[in-house]
Amino acid sequence: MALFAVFQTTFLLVWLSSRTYQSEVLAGHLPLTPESLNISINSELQRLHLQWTVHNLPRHQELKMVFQIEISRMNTSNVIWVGNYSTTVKWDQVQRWSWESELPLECATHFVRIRSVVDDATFPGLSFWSSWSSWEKVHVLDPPGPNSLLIFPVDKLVEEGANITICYVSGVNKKNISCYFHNNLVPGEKLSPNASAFKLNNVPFTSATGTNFFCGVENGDLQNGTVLLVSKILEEPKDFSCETRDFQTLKCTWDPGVDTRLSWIKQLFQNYTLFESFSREKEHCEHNNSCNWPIHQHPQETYNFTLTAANSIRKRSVNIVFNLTHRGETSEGAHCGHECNFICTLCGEPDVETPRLGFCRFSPKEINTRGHVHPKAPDDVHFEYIRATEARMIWKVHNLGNLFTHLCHVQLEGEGKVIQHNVSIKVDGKESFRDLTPATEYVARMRCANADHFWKWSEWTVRNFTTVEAAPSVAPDVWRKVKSENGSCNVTLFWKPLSKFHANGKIRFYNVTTENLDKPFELQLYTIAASANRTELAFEQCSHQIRVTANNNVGASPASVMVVTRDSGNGVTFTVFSKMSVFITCEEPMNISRGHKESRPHLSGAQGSDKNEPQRLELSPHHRLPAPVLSAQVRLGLRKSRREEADEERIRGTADGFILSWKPQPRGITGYVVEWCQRRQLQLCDLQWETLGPNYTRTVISTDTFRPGVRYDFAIYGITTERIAYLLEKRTGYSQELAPSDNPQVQVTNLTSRSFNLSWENYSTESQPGFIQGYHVYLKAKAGQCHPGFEKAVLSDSLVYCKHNISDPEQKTFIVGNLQPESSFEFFVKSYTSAGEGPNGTFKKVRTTDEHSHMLVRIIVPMTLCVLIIVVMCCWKSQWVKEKCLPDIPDPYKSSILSLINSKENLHLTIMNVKDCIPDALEVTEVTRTQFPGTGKPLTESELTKPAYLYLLPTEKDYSGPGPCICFENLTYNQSASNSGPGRVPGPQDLPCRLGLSTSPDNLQKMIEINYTNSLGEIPAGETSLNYVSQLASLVSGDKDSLPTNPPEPAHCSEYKMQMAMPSCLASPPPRESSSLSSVTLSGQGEYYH
Amino acid sequence: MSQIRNQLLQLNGSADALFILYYTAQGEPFPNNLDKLCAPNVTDFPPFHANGTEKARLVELYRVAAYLGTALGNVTRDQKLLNPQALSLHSKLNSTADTLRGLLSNVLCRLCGKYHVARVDVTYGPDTSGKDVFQKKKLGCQLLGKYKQVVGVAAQAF
Repeated sequence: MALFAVFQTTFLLVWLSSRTYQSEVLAGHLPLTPESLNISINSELQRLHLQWTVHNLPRHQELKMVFQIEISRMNTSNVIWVGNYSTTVKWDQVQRWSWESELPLECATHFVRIRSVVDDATFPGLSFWSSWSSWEKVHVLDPPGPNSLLIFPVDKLVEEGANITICYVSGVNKKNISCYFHNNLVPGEKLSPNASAFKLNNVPFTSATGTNFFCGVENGDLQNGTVLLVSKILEEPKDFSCETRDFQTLKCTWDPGVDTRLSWIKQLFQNYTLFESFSREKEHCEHNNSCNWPIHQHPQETYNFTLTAANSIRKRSVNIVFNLTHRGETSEGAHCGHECNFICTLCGEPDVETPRLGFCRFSPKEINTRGHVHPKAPDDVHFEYIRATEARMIWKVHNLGNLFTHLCHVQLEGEGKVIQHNVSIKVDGKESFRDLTPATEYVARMRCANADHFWKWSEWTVRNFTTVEAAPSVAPDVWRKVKSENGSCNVTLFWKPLSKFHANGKIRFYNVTTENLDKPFELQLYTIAASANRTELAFEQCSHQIRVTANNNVGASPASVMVVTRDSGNGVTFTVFSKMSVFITCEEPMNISRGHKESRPHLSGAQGSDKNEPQRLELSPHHRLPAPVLSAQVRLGLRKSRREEADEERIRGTADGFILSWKPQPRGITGYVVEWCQRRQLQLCDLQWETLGPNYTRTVISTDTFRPGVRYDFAIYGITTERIAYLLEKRTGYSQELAPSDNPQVQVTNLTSRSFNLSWENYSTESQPGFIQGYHVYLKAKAGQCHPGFEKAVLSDSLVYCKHNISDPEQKTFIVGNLQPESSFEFFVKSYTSAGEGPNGTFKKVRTTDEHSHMLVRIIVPMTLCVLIIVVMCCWKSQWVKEKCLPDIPDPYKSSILSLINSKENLHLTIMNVKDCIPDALEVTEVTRTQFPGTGKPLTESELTKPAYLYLLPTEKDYSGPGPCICFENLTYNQSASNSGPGRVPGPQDLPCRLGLSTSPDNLQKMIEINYTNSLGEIPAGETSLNYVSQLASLVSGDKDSLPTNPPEPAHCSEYKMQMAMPSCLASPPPRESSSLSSVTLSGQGEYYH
Repeated sequence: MSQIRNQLLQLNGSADALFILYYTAQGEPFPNNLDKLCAPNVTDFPPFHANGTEKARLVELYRVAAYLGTALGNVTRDQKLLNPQALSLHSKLNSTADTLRGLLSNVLCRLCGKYHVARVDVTYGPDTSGKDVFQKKKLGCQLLGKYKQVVGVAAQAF
């Protein structure tokens, strides 16, 4: 024990003496000042690399030391950074450290100095700072030339969101230099008279081609710039996983995330490296989202992969640990501590290049405990059998050595449905499908996965197959149109194609079989192509049963049966729903049929009896009384159905369609059929129908083919147990009523001073896109007032009108009354439906007439007509009128003179009759120049110089009595007349008829009264060689000018000179009974003429 | 000669579009500072005198075409690197370089055939491979500005 104590004391003394010696030795070498400071520059990284040594260290001696580094900019007093760097220093070892400057080193001179202190607990006596080393100047760029402008850094690569400082160095005396980034002026910080710095914070990514930073002297040519390459931030790979499909290769995949590639070669797409820590193998991935890892012959079960993404700026990594087959235990976190350091050195964060100042971090992102076997898609798929409703599929999975049980997922898709099954297999799988639809294409899919440790499903393997056909399962939906005429029927059959579900294959044709009910077993078969959906049949006798089947390659469908009778068209059908008595009168013997069966008993007592004698008939339910029926009296429960008489009820479409309902039928109804068609197109329309069961009394007809503004007619039929259809009710309506498309064309009639009538009889209400409910008669309001019966209304033009509503659509006339005469009105008539009025149009003007105008019309028109008739009559009978009213030679017996004379009671006066005169020749010795009356044309000299002789010879006819008569030549007659020769007397056709009265009879009478006795004596003598005075001339005046105006009158007497020629129109034989009297009376008056 | 004339007219017709395509692809501040960044100040650019003899004009045109051919080659190379997405610009640069090569061949043929000039000393444009990105953009813009100017004069001269 004492020995041990001695040994211990000795050891302590030796150790203490040794430490004392070392301290003394170190103290002898002090100070431990850093020396040989050398600074190198990396301009691209803007880094200063420092190297120095520590002298005075004993050989093979290590010390923990702290070095303090001080960096100044521009001058030594401007210290911009001070920091410590701790390390273990060995003898004769060069120390290295670097520093990154935020400012490009080219723009400012930097100064660096360093000092040290021993930070070693074994040498506490040395814990004091050494003296500073001398300042080391870092000068990168010499002053540029006077016309230079240099900008730094050059082509700098930074990450999005980073802060960066840009600076320029210019030549001397260059001022007013401005810099722009993204066209925005950047404020700068003056570093020196010729250098400025510009700090850009949070720089954005704008383009893969970089962003220009531009500086220039204002109003000068000096300019320069640099391009800042801003990269997107490298992201950590996502969804990193590895799997094997064949135990040969592990395929690791991931989502690389954002592409940090720049258009410039300075940064390519980020690269990826895969490192497995257990095997310590490393793989540089060729693709940016996957990497293949070979599995060795004796595969390891657990893998620890680290995926590292790197670009020029940074690195990012993720890690997974998994058991490939999962036969071992979970190893979660087992390798973390062991592998951390290694992974840190491999996939460190951005400070990997400065590990001494950085931090090494590693935390596994995921330790995957699932298996990573990803089976291949099943193959060798085939069907053992495929039938109409079932099939069996067989397949195999990729053989992995029977080590695994596979879970296979089988899907069957068809007819819009998907059926799924899961099957557990080793290698071979099979699955049966049942309840399939015939002739239907199905898609079978299957995929498999590791059933023990599910990782991923394999890809789908898809196979299509089609089940075989079967006979159609239902009868086709058939409907008909029947036209009966003269006992024969034309039947148009319509049918709807069977749905794919019911057709069970492709329909090849339709069979239509007809059976004449009056001639049983007489069948006709028609085969109709599958593409047709209708056919027409003609029956001489209507009563037929029709059976329609759809046929495919396998067989025929059930038959659709219907019975057509003559009454199916426009005939008369009585359907009996309960037993009853019917009194019926027929025009001929009538059979009673019971449905389509042959039980057609004769109407009891009808045959051989008088056809109009009512018969009584007991009817059982569903007896049908076919036409011809003259009349029928139904006592009870007899329903009469006639197409023409079925009421047509109006319905209105809704958003869901047309809602139709009908009264339920008591019994014996197997169903209903609702048919519809566009109105007015019964012949051409696409007939649609819907078949309903017997319990339906309501349905909604909804189809996309209904169009607004189109009227559709619906008919509801009941189907009896005998398959006979009879019409129950009719409907008509619009799916959506629209306002009228046009307005009535209004005619104005019966226009009076107080009213007028508007009429639009030709307006068709049927062709409108809605039910016309009435009309609105608009009048333009005058002074804001409306007539009675009108109300104010405002139309779309915001003007006030007077409106009258006609609510009866059939009333197509309207009388606008109580109006003022000679007033203007403007009217317009619009029809309207429930959707609104018709379109706007132009108002028509109408003006009431004058109140008296009609009276004037009533007077003036008849008067005018009378005058016209008189004038026409006068022209037509002018000769007669003249003769009657104003004869040139008045009838002495009717003359007013005679009445005047008679009034003076001169009873001795007589009238000479011309027939008493026998004319002779008269020679005229002197001729007076005169004009031919009426023409104004004087006779020519030759005509005048030639003596004219007029032989006035009596004719046998004209001569009525004895006595000579003196005749003379009248030179006022034309030459032709005078030349006509003796014995020729110009007839009536030779002279124009002239009427020339110089005065009226009244004046004439007055003159006679005044001058009768002296007038003749006052005729001036000597003006003519021969003066003659006719009776008229002597009565009028002695004016010679009046002669031409008074045409010569026929002279019949011989006592006085008179002209013989006279117009025929004026010549009339004197009355015979007065002829003797006239000859006597005029004998005493001839002396007044010379 | 007509081929030379037509080629010059073709180059002149497309020079402006090429210039616009180029400075647009470089981004700001080029489009708004054409007078500063794209002024036709190209050192060592061969002179061209429109009023000289045909032979002299052809010789000068040959030098210009040779200079432009190489310089445009540099510009095309730089732009494919700096603006790989500017495909229309690349296409235009390539077609212009092709036409320049054809022009160079025709001018030499004319000189040789008519004037028996078999060799012309030429200068080439500066190599921009060592320049920074901004300088590449700027030099290219200046070159295309000069190209537009000189090809217009040459087209008028012939």
